[in-house]
This record gives sequence, C-alpha cells and structure tokens, in this order.
Amino acid sequence: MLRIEHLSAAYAGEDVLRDVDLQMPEGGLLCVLGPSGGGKSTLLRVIAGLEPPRAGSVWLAGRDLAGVPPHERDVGLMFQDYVLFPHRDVGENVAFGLRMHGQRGVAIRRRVAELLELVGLPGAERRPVSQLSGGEQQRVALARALAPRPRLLMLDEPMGSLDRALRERLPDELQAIFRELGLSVIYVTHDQDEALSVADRVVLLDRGRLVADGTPEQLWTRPPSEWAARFLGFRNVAPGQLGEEGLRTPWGDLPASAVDPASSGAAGAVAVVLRAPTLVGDPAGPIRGRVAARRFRGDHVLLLVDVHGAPTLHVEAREADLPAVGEEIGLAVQPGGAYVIRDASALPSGT
Amino acid sequence: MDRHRPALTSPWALLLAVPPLAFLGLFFVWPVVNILALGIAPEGRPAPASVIETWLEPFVLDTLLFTLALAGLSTLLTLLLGLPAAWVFARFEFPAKRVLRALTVVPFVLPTVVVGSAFLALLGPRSPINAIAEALFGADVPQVRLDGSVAAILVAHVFYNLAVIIRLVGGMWAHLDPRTEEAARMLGATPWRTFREVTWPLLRPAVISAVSIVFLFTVTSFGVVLLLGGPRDTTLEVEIYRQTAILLDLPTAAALTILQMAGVLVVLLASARAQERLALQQRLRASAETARPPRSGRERALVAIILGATLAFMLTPLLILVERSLAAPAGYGLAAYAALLGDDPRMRLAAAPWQSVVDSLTYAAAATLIAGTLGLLAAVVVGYRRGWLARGLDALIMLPLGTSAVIVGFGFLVSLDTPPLDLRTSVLLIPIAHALIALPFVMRAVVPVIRAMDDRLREAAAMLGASPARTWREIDAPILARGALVGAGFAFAVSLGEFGATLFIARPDSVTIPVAIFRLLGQPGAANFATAMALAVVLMVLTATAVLLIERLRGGGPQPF
Amino acid sequence: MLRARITAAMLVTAGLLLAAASVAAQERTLTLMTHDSFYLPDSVIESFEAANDVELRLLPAGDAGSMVNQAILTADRPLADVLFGIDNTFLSRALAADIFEPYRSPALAFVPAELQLDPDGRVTPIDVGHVCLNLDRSAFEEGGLPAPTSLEDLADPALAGQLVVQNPATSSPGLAFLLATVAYFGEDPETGWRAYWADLRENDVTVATGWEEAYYGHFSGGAGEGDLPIVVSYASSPAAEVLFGEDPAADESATLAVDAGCFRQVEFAGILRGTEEPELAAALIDHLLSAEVQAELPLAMYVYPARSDVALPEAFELHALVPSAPLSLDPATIDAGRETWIREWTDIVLR
Repeated sequence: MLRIEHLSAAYAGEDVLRDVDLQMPEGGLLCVLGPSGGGKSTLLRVIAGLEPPRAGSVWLAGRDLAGVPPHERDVGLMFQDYVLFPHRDVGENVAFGLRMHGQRGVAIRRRVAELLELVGLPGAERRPVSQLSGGEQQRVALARALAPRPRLLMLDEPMGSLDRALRERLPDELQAIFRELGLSVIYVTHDQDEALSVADRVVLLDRGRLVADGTPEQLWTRPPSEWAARFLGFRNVAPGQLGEEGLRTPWGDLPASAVDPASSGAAGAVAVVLRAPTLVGDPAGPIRGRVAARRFRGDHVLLLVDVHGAPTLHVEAREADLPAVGEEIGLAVQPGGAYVIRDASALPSGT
Repeated sequence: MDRHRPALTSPWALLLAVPPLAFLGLFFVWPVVNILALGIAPEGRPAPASVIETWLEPFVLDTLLFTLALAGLSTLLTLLLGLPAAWVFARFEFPAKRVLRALTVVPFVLPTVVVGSAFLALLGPRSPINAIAEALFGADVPQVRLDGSVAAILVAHVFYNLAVIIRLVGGMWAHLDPRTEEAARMLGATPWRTFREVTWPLLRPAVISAVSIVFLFTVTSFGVVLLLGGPRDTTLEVEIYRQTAILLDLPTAAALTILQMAGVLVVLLASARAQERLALQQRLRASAETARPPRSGRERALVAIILGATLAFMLTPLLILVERSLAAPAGYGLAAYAALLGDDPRMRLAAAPWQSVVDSLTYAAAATLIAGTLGLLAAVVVGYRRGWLARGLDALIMLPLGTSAVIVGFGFLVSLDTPPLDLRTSVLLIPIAHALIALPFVMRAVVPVIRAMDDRLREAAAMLGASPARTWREIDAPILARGALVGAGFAFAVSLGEFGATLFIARPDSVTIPVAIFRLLGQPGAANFATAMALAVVLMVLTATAVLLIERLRGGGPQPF
Repeated sequence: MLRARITAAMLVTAGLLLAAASVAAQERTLTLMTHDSFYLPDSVIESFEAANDVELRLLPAGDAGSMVNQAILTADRPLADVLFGIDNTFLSRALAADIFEPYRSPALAFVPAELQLDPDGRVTPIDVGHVCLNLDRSAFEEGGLPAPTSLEDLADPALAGQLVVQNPATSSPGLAFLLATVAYFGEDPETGWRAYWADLRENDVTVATGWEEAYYGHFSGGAGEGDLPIVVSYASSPAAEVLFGEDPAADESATLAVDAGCFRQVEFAGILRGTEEPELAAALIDHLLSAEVQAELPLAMYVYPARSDVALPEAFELHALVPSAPLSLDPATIDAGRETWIREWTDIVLR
C-alpha cells in the first residue's frame, strides 16, 4: 500500500535521509526504530508532505504523492508532543479533522464520542486541553488523528513524554485499537523494547539509511549488523574470528557448537553476539572472568563480568547460589548461543 | 500560571508607581484638566450643557464619523497588507532579514513633515509614475494623482503603521509552534482553512494589540491628514487643533477633546479586556526554531513577491527623500549635505542645520533617561501585578498617545506657569514631552518580557537555595534589564522623530531635526528644499541605526510596543 | 539599590539642567515672542543687545494665530516681554483680550497713518506684506494663456482650471485672499464675494491645504513642481524666486506678481502687559522700527518696511511688486466676520 523508492531528504544542508526504499502492505504496524537524529521524524514528515524530498518518491495506494499537499494525502500524523490546539477543547480537537472532511453536526458528535470512548476518555468533550495530563493528551491526540480515518496513521514517538507506568501499559492498548480498526500504522520510536513489543515489522534507521528490516523475531534472532545488534539491546558484542575449529572472541575461544546455525557469518572476520541467557556458570568453561557487579532484576540477576582485555560481559544468572562480587568464575556458552555476523568491518559501526 | 510570580505587595507596588504617576499627573493630567476646565468652566462653574450641545452639532458628528471611518479603514488596510509580511518575517529565513526588519520600523518614527513631502513627491503631478506614463504615452496621458485625497491619507497611514503589524503580529507568529499548523494539515485542512481555524485564533491576541495601537495612531493622526488630505478631510484631531490654535474656541476644543479621549479610553480598555480573554496558555517556541529558508520554488516565489512588494512600498518614499536630497541644479551632487554644515542665512535657522542633530540627540538622551526610568518602574507594576492599579496605570500611560498634542501643549502654558515649575519656556519641556510620548513604548517593551519569564527558572533558582530577593536579583533583574534597554532604544527613536508636540512647545532657538526640516520646508527656494531632504536622510540614518541597535539588544525576546 | 541609583541619576540630571538654565538667567534678558517665520540677521540682534546691555531671547511660538492665542492664554503670566508678528487678521482678538501695554514710538512719525490701525497705540506696525496672485511667466508668454489683470479674469473660462488657492481655514495667505475678495466684491448676494467664489468653483479652482502645498506642489512656476500657472502667494515671491534660485543675479524672475486683488497684511509688535522690563521693551520696539532694522526686513522676511522713508533693496526694486492699490479690511470687521466667512466659503467652494 505504501511504497517508498530511493527517498532522500536534506535539512539545513545536511542529508537526513539517504536512498530509503520501503514497502508496506495494507494493515499492520511498522515500527521505524533508530537513534535520535537518525532521520525517523524526517521520514514521517516527508511521507506526510510536510517536508519535500530531495529525491525519490512516495506512493500511497498506487498514487504518487509528489506535489500532493499534506491535507490531501489521506495520511494521519500524531506528533511527538501531541500539539493539541490550545484554543479548542477536547471535543473540538477531535472534531477538527472531521469538519475538514466535510462532516456536520450529529455525525461529528457521534464520531467524537465514539473515539473518546475508544481511547478511554468518554465524556471528555468539553474539557480544556490545558487541563489534561500527559497520558490524556496522548489519547486525545490519538483520537484526533484517528477521527478522519486516514489510510495511513503515523505516530512520532507517541510514548516520548509519558511516565514509565503508562509507557508499559499503553502499547498494548494502542495495538488493540489498531487491530480493532484494521489500520495501517507507522510507529516511530527510539526505544527498542517498545518497538519489538508493539510492531509486526521493524525497520532500523541509522543516519538516514535503512539498515535492517524484519519482524521483531527475525531482528532479534538474526540482527543484520553489529550496529543493529547493539541498538536492539545486545550487550555482549565484539569482533571475532570464525574458523573451522571454532570461534575466537576477546572473551575466549568457543567451540564450533556454540555458533548459532542461523548465523549469517562465514569463516573470517566477524562480529560476535553472545546472548546473555545462554551464558551459564561452568568452572571448566572457556571464558574466565571476575564478577565486577551484581544487579537484581527480578527473575534473574545481572552479573557484570570483567574478562581481561575484553568488553564487560553481561550474564543473566538464574542459579540459586550466585558468585560474590570479586569472585573468579568460569562461563560456558550453550550450543547456538553465539550469533555471528559476517564481515563486521563493512557494516556501519555502532554508536 | 500566576501563582509562582513573586508577589509584588501593595505597598511596594504603590511606591514604585509613585514616580510615573507623579510625572503623568504633573505633565499630562494636570495640564489637560486645566485647559479642559478653561473650556468647560470658563467662569469657574462647569457647564456640561454646552459640551453636550457641541457634541450634537452636525459638524461634530460628521467629523467623528469621518475620523472613525478613516481610522477603521486605515487599520483594516494596514492589517491586510501587513499580515503577509508578518508571515514572511516570522516563518522564513532569508538574507539580511535583521536589517530589513529594522528598516521597516524607520517609517514609524519619521516625522510627518518628511513623510508628507515624500508622498507629495510620489503621488503628485510630477511623480515618477506620471513621468514614466508621459514618456511612454506622450503628454496627453491622464495623470495619476492621489495628493489631496483620502486615498493619499490611507496610503500614508499604511506606510506608517505596517511596522506595528509586522513586529507585533509577526513577533507572535514567530513564536507559534508551526507543528500546530502541520497537525491541521494532516487532518485535511487546506492552507487557507489552517490559517483561519488554527493560526488566526492563536494570533488573535497579538492582532488585537497591534490593531488597537494602529487604530490609536490613525484616529489621532494629524500631520498626515493635514498635509495629504483634501481641504474637506477634517478629523477630530485636526478640528481640535483648529479650534485651539487658530480659533481659540476652547469650549468647542474641550468638548471635542473629551470625546476623543473617551473614545481612546474605550478602545484601550476593550483591547486590554479582549487580550486577557483571548490569552491562551500555549507552548511558545523560540523564533529561531520556527523560521526556515523557503523550500520549494513556489514558496521562494511567494516569499520574494511578498517581501519585494512590502519593501518596495516602504522603501520607495524613503528613497525619494534620498533622491531629492541629492538633487542639484545640474544633475546630482552633495551640495545639500554640505549645506548642513554651513550657516547660510537663507535657511532662516538660528544655527547651522547640523546643530539640530546635536540638539536632537541631546533631547533624545534626556527623554530616554526619563522615559526609561519611569517606564521601567511602571512596567514592573503593570507586569507583576494584575488588578486596578496595574490596569489603570497602563491605560494612563497609553492615554497621551491618544491625546491631541496641541491640547497638552496649551495645557502646559496655562498650568506650568508658577515658579519653580514655570517650565513654559524651558528647554526641559522638550525632553519631558518626548518622555510622555515614549513612555508607552518603554512600558510595552518591558511588560511582555516580565510576563514571558519562565516560572520554572525561578523555581529552579529556589530549589538551589536562592531566597526570593536573591531570585529576583539573579533571575528577574538581568532579563528586565535587557527589556529596559530595548524600551530605551525605542524611546530614543521616538524622541528623534517626534514633531507635533515639539512644535507646540515654546522654546528658545535650539531646534530638533524634525522642526529644522519643517522650518526649511517653509522657506522658499530649491536649495532649502534639498537641505531639508538631506536633513531628513540624516534623521533616517540615525533612526535606522538606533533601531538596528535595539534589534541586536533584543535578540529573540518578545516584541515591543 | 537599583531604585536608589536611578533616583540619584535623575536628581543629578535635573540638577545639571536647572543649573544650566540658571546660569543663563543671571544676565539681564528680554524675551521676544514671535511666529515661526520670524527671522532677522544676527547683526541687528547683536546691535540691540550691545546698545542696551541685554540678552535678547527669541521665543518662536508656532504660526501667527497660534502665537496670538498662546499670548492670550498666558496673559496673567506672560511668556515674553514683547510680541512680534501679530497681523490685522488677528489684531482685534488680541486687543479685546487686552494683552498689550500702550506705547508710541517716536519713529511712528515715518509710518503712514493708514498702517496705524490701533488708535490707542497698543501695537506698532513694523512691516507690510501683500498677498497677491503669482503667475508662471512661461505659461503666459508667446501666445499662451491670457494673463489675468483683475480678480474677475480668474472667473473667465479661458483661465479655467489654472488657479490654485489655499484653504482659508488652515492657511494665512488663503485667508488673506478670501478677505481680498470680500473687500473687493462686498457682501451683495448677486455680485458679492459669494457669487464670485461660486464662479471660481465653476471655473475649476484647486484648493490646497497650505502655502507650501500650493506653491511647491501645484504651482508650475519657479521652484513649483505642479502644473497650475496661477497661485496665491506674496508680492515679494518673484524676488524670492531669484534670490533663492540658481542665479541670484538673474535679470528676470520666472514668476510674476499681479497688481490686482492684493491684500495688505500689516505685522505689528507690542509690549506684553506684565513685563518687568518696560523700558527695554520699548527700546526693542524702537529698534524694530529703526531705519537699520527696517532696511533689513525685505531680505529677511520678504516683507516691505512699515516706514516710508526706507529704500527697498535692489532685488525688490527689480522683481518684487509694490501693489498700487492694495485691498484691506478693518480689523474689527475681520474679527467679526472671519469664522462666518470661512464657513460660508467652505460651503460654496468645497461642499
């Protein structure tokens, strides 16, 4: 339904999007994930028509959007800090798009009530927006964006300014709403947990380039690059050497059985990702280090292990008797626990 | 949003309000009341019946209607023509933006004699338009002439007041979050509906403030109407001048003055109320964040057209002055500028014209000191407090802008006549009168700065252990000082350009630039005319310099007026 | 503290200004209130100061009308010792307000009796001006327009649309010209001034607000930039054209005053009642009427000396007109009729 071809954009003389290609089918929730300044908001603004592309094209439902002004694109955008109209109350904010689309009177009132019900703010029509809490503002902004039934709804960091409790609860609610309405949604965030938990599909944007594209499971199990792996939250990432006899890492030499068969890596220079849960205590294990810190994480304890001459290793320990801080321990990697990425040097390096 | 504002307690507010109140009382209220009393109660007993009788005279109604219609139409035109320019200045970055924005203020402080002669040159029979038409189509082509018509007054009013719209409305516009407009576009609103439904309502407080000021200026417009209008075009202000200065019919003048001042007060109070009612809490953005270079070709063209047309309109009369100042018997030359230095008796000035530059700068410095000090005190009272004291002081300070200069001038004559306050022929009276007119500008420059101060700054200071007094000194005072400097710059520029009141004040042989220009224009001879124009160009350059300095000091803060 | 500093600064400034004012006040001074057009060469002012050991302060106070009104308003506490520049159109208002001390200068012996309009000697005639029609010489030469030789000629259709006059409500020469028509045509409803002005209106007369606008803006002769060849100005204007023109030694002025329908304006000086220096004030009146000052008046203010025994400068002899039969009206008649005439004139010409 949405097709983006060779899209480039510049802002204040600097390239913000570089040759982005992206296709999106009807329905579903696409998450655009990337660090701040990576071009995520610009991508949304170009799709919305608020920013002109420098090159490339955007197609929506078979229509080339070049030259189509924002208000005729049939695209909704929910801004990062919501940008509610300060001079209109909640109901008028939600009704705005409906009026723009020529609806009148009772139809508007019914739809506004329906939407406020949907976002969990029934009866809030006459409240002034200056009295809303952050979460309420977000709901009103969502209701306002949904009201004209856009073909494509885009959300720019919708959780950006909310407190933690809301951030954990709202993604599920949003997902439920989007499912119920069968909407096509692009969701922009810099938070990988949020992205992975809410999206059907995630694309990774780094300095204007699309560097990864897949379902959350695909990205999680097969991060396409060292940078992507780091950004998705893998902590134990380092360069290594893959050979017939096994995998050489800064933490120690691992047997070939430890390498994830799904790895894209081939013999030679690679990036190694050691998944934290697959690291188990083993006095005879190939990795030896000293516990530098312990952090309680509920269902597990995070051990930070210093290995001489290598990055600190993150280990999720679930055993009953845990090593003390300062204790020397040995670690083994369960079979398939090391994911290997080919030719790390050719890929964009992490931040 | 007021609850964090440090409370300015009543005794302190009253104390701070005393100097400005005393100044206005002595140099505005008392003289005006005295001269009105002479008109209303010539025998010591007020005769309200005669006032009402005057109001009911048909010529008063005619004059009132013409005045209101002229001011209303002028204001509307200024707003319509000023909004596109305000938009361009608020939303776009382009080369030399600061200089161009400063230039738009120059007309605002130019004396009417100067602008009048520029417009006579532009709109009269020998205008460049007619010269071109004649060159193209021969001598028989009908002439375009606007001098002596209502159209000429309207054009000059727009010329004078565009800066008010560009600065006040454009200033607000620059602080509006552009994404509010983008949100509307995303919801399907056309650019026009976005403006109507989103931008306009948010701009409205600024529009009302700007429109009320333009209305105030045009309703009391004197020189423009007299110089450019037809012989029948008489406004309240012109009629008050005639009744006072020419006919000495004080009862009629008093009745008209009361009518005018009452009307001005109504407009001031209505606009203050409307602004309070419409004021919205909204996230304001720094103006630097909301402006960007024009992007598409269409946008570039639009910006170029609006900017080009606005600047052509505002700068052509100024360029005409420059052209006339360079006119010499054979072609062009700097003879008129050389004449500024010499003391040609044919100029009929007491000293060489450059002396008026020195005098003007001296008076402006003194007026700035007075208006800056008193305006700062008044702004602190008006800015930190609400309620009757603040509102009353605000209206009182604005009122001299809406009062006929001849009434204040003649009021001085009948009031300040007892030593040690016999200031009637003192040079002190000029900076005092200028300060009276500059005070509103100082106050209006500082009050928004006070009101826009982010309370979170004060809270942060308090969290770090600052006492309220310390917070005031560390947080409020430095910000206030910058506002006061901006206000002082405006006071300086206003004083440089003030003409009407200065001409009415009895004074010995030192004259300000506008008065020297007026005297030179009143003397026969092309050389005197060119010298007057050269002096006008000097005034323009001084004004532009002052305004540019203000802009530098102001940075991105709230807009004055 | 800030306030204290500000207060101190204000006090210092006020002190300095007052000090400057009081230094100037130590010498004996005499103040001469004048209209804004007053001018005398420094030499004759200095000769008065030297002869009487006094400083002469000039106090310009607006146009003649405004000056007289200011003098009347401040009659209790006069602003000056002597007033110069009141003319016959405002004389009776000032006399009625009783603002002058009577004084008869010995030099009055050289002044024609017809100029001594106050029998009580409260004001002294100093100079005479004539408001006359001025012509653009070039427009009437070589078979051009027929040059007008009387007021009646202006109503001739041959001169339709050629005349610019000033509004008597706002202009002193405009009022003088209206008074000239009143004096010349009288009050008869059929043949009086009202009928004449109705004819002028028929003949497309142009009305300007003031002298500057009429002369520079509408008049085509001399320094004028307009296109009308007949203007109401002064008998001395052609001399001014030469003296202020490109060639002060030119043989012929580009303009010409018409010796018909000229109105005589007499300018008076008077001692203001309440002066503390009556002898010095009288000396100043004598000085203004001295042969020395009288001889300077023509080139200083473009007027004719009141004394008949003073020769005119060469430029005046060559270019200025001495009207053969100037019109005039009794000051009391003028004062009684002025407002009504102006209102009637406005109805006839402008409505």
